[in-house]
Amino acid sequence: MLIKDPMMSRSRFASVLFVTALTTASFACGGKKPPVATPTPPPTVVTDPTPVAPPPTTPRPPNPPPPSEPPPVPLQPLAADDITAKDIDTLNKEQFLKPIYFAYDSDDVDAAGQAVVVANAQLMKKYDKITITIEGHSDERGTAEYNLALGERRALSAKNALVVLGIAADRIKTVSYGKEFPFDPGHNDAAFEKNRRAHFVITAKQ
Amino acid sequence: MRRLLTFSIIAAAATATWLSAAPSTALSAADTYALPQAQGQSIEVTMIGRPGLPPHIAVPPMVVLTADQATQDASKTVTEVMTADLKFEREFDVMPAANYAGIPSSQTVEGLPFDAWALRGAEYIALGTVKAGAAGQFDVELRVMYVKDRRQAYAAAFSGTARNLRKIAHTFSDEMHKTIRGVDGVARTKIVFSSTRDGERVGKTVEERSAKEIYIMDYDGANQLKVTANRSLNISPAWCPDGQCVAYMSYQTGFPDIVLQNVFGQVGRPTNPTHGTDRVQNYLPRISPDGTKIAYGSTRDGQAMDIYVVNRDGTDERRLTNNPANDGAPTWSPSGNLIAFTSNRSGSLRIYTMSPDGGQVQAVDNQCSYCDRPTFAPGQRGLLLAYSTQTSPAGHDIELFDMSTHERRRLTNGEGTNESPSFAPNGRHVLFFSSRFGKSQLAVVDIDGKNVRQLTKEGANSFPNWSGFLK
Repeated sequence: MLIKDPMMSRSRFASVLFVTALTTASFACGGKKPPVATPTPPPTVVTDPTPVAPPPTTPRPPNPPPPSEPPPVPLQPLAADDITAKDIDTLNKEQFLKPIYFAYDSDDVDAAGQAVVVANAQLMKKYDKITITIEGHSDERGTAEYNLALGERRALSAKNALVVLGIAADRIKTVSYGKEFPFDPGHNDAAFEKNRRAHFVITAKQ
Repeated sequence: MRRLLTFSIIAAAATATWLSAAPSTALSAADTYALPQAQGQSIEVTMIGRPGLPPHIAVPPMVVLTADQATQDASKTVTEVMTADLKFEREFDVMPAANYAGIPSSQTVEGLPFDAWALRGAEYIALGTVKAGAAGQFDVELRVMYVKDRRQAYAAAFSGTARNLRKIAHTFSDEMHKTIRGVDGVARTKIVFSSTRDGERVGKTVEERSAKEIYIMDYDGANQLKVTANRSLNISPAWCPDGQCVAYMSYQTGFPDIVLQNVFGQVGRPTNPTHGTDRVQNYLPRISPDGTKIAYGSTRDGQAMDIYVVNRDGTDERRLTNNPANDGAPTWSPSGNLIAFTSNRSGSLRIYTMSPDGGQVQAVDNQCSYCDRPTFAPGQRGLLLAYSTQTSPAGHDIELFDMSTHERRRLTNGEGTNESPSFAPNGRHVLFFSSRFGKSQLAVVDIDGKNVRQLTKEGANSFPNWSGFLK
């Protein structure tokens, strides 16, 4: 199936196209992993039916434990609160740590944002095992390339605001998604305001 | 797909007795026609007929020599694809079928009613035949006749299965452009881009997020094929110069890094030549014209984005800019002697050039206040840049800038917002993505600003990049 010769003849080119089409089609139909698949490690949570990105804290996580082994039952906490009772995904979906919002083309954490950062910092001090990734996002205005840099600046601003409040820098990673993942798909000012944001995403809690 | 016959103009007249018997005559009304500068070549082509205007060509449906449905479908496909290819380059004026209604079709050159064609204004006739062959193959032949002196201008024949028919039509078109018009057609080139069409969701995120995967397709939007399948964000792909691989940004580890992946030829494991981690994040790759290096942006250890270059195999990484501003979107000049990039170091987002070792940084004097994603036209004659420039509070347009004459030309005019230009390898068209169609879609425009054509419809599509010439 592999064509070793880099200088392909016309007929060979056609057959390679066909191979690519076949492998792609079989994958698109839920078939086996194609030979062109990327080296993503397997999902870290075996019971989860949907493939997930590995946790951002380790780009190459180890393989998960065998699924037949039941997880150890944790001791019942004396006083269950949000952080122990809920899994990380739920905490993030409910925005246990609140997002902050930015002005157009700005990475300044304004007064409202600063108040949110203070509250987030208090939670991170109370639950000092929490590690996070701050995601910087932009609205759809401006070019895709520029907004990647803007999102990075917003995430770094938010990180610096936490660090100033005494949160260890090594508990915070940053990532920019530019304008690729709008929170609100609308094309109006109300949507834009929601989309110029930094999310504080919990990646580990113990 | 197999070539059965190939002819140059001279060889066809001299050796192929089954073709036109008309002797080739001296051209009485010859005009020389210099190619447009963007073509990047200095050859001159001798043309006949109406000087400077694309000649009228009739492309009637290819004659079906075996009467089964599959052959009829094959005829339809080849005729339609080749017609669209010819219209795309605007080097031929393809006659509407209504203009030659009533002229009987002919299976042979000898049977062509040349006088009737001439009366309708046809300067060339494309006479094609399709015949079912063995094992699902079709034999497809094309003879293009110059009506005035009944001389054969181009002829070729191919054999291929149904899935090769588009390629056969593209090959006819490219070879007709080269032989008759002296133009390098792009009908066999490909486009790589980022798409949400699968409706996949990225797992474990705060809100619902559509995964973006890398796709490739033919230059006309056909044969769309998926390259990645990791349900994360995969954007800003760029072709290797040989068209065998692509480099793109992927968030599959949770952080952006550059992946180099073969799409044709030898299928190998994708590599990460920029060695990304959560702290070394890498953006917006572009591969050098000789295929050996990748220029990209990186925000390692919380620094503002700067430009780096690394060898394709991951060795010899070099930092080219070191600036508190954001430097991004690097791109190579056709010779590889210059890298253009964007920076907001002056306070506004402008385009700069530098040598590939980071020296001689110069602002491009195109009066930009917000310009992004520069890209050079192919060819070595002068330096022509395309980029996206802000033209309204929420809108960007594609603009050309000639670095030697300082001339500027808008290719889009405020219809939606238009981004990420990429030149066709013949320099005659610019690919971009636009919001004018509702969702973000890929479109192409000619370098005179005419003929905007939408290429994608499914999902939201962005970050297009046009391949070099392929065979």
